[in-house]
Amino acid sequence: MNVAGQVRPAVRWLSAVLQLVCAALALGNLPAAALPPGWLLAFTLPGAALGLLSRLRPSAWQRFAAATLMQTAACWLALEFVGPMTRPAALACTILPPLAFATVRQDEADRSLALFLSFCVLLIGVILDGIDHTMLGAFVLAACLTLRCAAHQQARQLGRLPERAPAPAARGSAIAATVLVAVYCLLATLAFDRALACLPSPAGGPAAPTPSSRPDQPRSAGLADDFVLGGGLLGGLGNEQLVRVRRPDGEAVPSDLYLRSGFFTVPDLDRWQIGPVRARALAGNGVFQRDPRPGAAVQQLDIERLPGAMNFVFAPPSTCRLGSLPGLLADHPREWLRQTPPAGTRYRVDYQRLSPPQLEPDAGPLDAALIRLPQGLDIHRLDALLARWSADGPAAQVLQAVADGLARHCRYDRAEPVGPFVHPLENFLFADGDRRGFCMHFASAAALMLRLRGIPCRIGVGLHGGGPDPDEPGARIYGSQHAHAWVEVPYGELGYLVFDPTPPGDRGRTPTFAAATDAGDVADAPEAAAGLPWRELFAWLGQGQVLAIVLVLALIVVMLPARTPRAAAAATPAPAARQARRLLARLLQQLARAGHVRRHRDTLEAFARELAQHGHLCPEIADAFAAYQDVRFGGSELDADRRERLRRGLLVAQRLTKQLAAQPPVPASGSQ
Amino acid sequence: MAKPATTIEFTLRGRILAWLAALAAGASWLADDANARIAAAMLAAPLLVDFVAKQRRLHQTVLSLPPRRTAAGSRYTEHVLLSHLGRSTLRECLLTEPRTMRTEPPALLPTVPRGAPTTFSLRQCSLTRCHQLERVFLLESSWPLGLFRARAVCRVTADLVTEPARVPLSAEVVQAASEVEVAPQDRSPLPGPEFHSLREHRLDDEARGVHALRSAATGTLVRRVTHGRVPRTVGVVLDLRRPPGRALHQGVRRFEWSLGACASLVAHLRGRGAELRVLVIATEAANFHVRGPAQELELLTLLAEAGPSPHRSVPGEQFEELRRLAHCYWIPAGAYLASPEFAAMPGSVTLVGGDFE
Repeated sequence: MNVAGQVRPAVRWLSAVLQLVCAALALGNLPAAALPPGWLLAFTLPGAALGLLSRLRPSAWQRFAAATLMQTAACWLALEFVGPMTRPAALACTILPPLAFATVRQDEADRSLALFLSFCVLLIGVILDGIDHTMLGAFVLAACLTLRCAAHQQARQLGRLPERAPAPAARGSAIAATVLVAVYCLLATLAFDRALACLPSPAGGPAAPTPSSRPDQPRSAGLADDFVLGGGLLGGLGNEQLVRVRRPDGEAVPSDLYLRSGFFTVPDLDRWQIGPVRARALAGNGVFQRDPRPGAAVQQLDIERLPGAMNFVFAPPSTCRLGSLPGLLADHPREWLRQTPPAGTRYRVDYQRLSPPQLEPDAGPLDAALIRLPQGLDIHRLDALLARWSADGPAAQVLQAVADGLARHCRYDRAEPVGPFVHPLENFLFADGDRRGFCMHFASAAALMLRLRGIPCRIGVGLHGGGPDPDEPGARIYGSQHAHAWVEVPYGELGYLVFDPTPPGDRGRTPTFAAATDAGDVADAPEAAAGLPWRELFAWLGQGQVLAIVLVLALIVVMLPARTPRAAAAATPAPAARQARRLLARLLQQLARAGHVRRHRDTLEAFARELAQHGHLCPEIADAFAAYQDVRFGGSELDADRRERLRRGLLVAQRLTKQLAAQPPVPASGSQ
Repeated sequence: MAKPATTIEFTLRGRILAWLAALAAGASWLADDANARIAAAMLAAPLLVDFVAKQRRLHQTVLSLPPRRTAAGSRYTEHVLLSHLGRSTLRECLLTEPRTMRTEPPALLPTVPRGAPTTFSLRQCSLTRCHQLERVFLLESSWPLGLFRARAVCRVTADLVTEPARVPLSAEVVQAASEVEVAPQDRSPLPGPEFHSLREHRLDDEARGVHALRSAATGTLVRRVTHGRVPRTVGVVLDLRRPPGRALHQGVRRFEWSLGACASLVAHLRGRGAELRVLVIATEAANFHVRGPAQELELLTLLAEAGPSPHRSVPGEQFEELRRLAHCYWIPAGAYLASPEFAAMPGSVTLVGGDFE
């Protein structure tokens, strides 16, 4: 009898606690707004109670009845006191009862299942709510330790325990090794993510030569004339470089530069559109020109469009002059610029950095289009919100109040807002729980609030932040991850000035991990982070190439043979045993067809005795068994002789099967 | 001879995880989806760490074992000296010897640092009769995460003699060589029958054998049991030949039982002080004169190695010594009951296992 070793209670408890931690982390990663705690309890408590109940070994129908009753009652209570939830959340909840059940029951097979279900729930949270790196890291650590505990338990159950207790030093070394393995797991997760991100994907990506990134085929996706809230600002653009900006005098390009590529005027609850544009080809040499405003210095920029951005013309607000681009179309009052067809990569821009004056905004003849509100907007709620924020009075005061109120009321996140409302913007502003969103939601909300207070405005989109160009000091590189949206307020002759309601701290957030390729915006200010050496180090280590090199080096070190030749113990070649096992399996299959099925855990000797009792143990079969055991347990090779013996046994077994099949069935009474 | 190596294979859990990771990685690659990438990374990372951290020099483990002599089916404890010459510390290794630990769970080794010899005990039981000069151990470990299993076969030069399992012999067989049992006439140990044991006196027993002192002490009549004195030299013929025209592999049970009977008989007779003339008839006949423990061990080693042999006739001179003895045992291990040599044996010959079937 196989006497299994006993698992120490401390290890069993630790394993159970780690599984609970995994489940708790996975549940904690679920968005509270989409899945209120009441519903979470309703979907986990009955499963957990059933798991506890299962330890009492009730019958199947008792389990079924208890599960049905408890789950129904819990759902009814949640519906009564918490209210309905969205369909995706309800679908996601279906996995929670088995998770709670497997986590609490703690049977032998439940460990892996519970861990896997925790992982699934965590992924659901990631899909619904975006990536929380701290939570993911904690889950990876906890899951790794859980796996370690499971492996330890399995080894203790399979093997007989040593007679002596391990020395404290050995125990300490084992714990240290376990912790090291968990940390390696965390690093490996990071490395894998980076490495996968570097792979060229058929769906797009930085390294893939997609047709849209070729200069001869202008891109049509991203920064377009229509923006759908909920679809991301740069859907399909990936993480590619778009524009390089430098100053002709060699000085550094300011990090707070806004590069507009377009704007939206016509609002709706779920989308913004550009509205009417009167595009006209520029006469003469195709130079867009406006008179500079007095009192502000004119600065120059050299803008180089990279292949991914050939379809756009980037220019800062308050641009005075833009030239060297053939085929330029423009709408002067609206400061709209577009080039057809795209040609040329470099152009020079003169612009001014203007501050908002102490005047009321003035949109001139475009005023009516810039204060329009979407149909279906709950104006009363929006008005109440503005009243709460004291957003009244002069325009400057309203702008400040709206910016402050949004910063307090909403949270910046690179994920879509979720909540009970149909439209993302309503969820962003009016949801009860977590109101979060990215720059387009901040800009949309601010624009609607300003229009409600009679301040004309529109939404500008383009690039902001960028990063220093490593090849050219002073220059900046802007990528699709620097796409940004802001509000532009017209001030008569001064043109449109930028009002950015996105909290400045979040505007400067550096994209890390996988979020850099999110469809959402990431407007970073690298200088803010550049001062922290550990961040630079981490960013350097986080590069896919560095991690790939580290991984390859680690693999080489592990695979390298030992330097000094050592007395090598002989070993049975595993392929030989496998081939012998394959032949034996065929032989046993034939015998099973003849009615002699080898029982599980039955040794070959016992099976041979059984065959002998029935008078079917032919010498060839016995010889084949012996040949197999020579290979499997005797350390012998599967040479031609043993292979032949096994094959001979197989042939005899086939013959035996045919003989038995040809015989008429023997009546049971006459068998003795 | 193949080079010694450690093989690494997936466990069931690892295989499932690998499939899931591959699916997630494929999905993330096709869709360029960050969530799928995170899933793939989280699934693949434990696999990678487990594979890299796996102990891949298990075969560089050296085991030392003392010579071992046991009987088939008897349990014993083996003390093994293990030293690991690989790069890293051995952790959570399961050690088993498939031949002798079929009914025992593998031993979970303590943590073995590199190069530090460690002694531990294994509970073993050799089920089949054999004489092995090389023992094969299987060393496997799933450390650290149990997603891959490293496995190596360690061969050790050793001397394992598994003697035939002892079998109970009938009283007729045991006492066949003894002189006729006679109740003791005096207390002198020689030359009459020898004392064996005490038993309760029955009514129809002869009153002369009653042990007076013991009967007075216990309050019931107790009498002596005596054995006839064993001759100084007893002959044993172990016939390993199969009958003419019979296959070698048949009659295994009888063969094993006969070897066990031979070993039991030798032990019994040696225990009673007799010397043995043993003739083992196999492919070649071998004569043994068992006078002490060394010859007894030699005979038992031969029994451990013995196998059935095809039929052949034995020259008559091989039986010269045996013919001079007062009593012989004939053990037809190969089931050759109609042997002419057996029929030609003079004097008292007892057939052991003749009614085996």
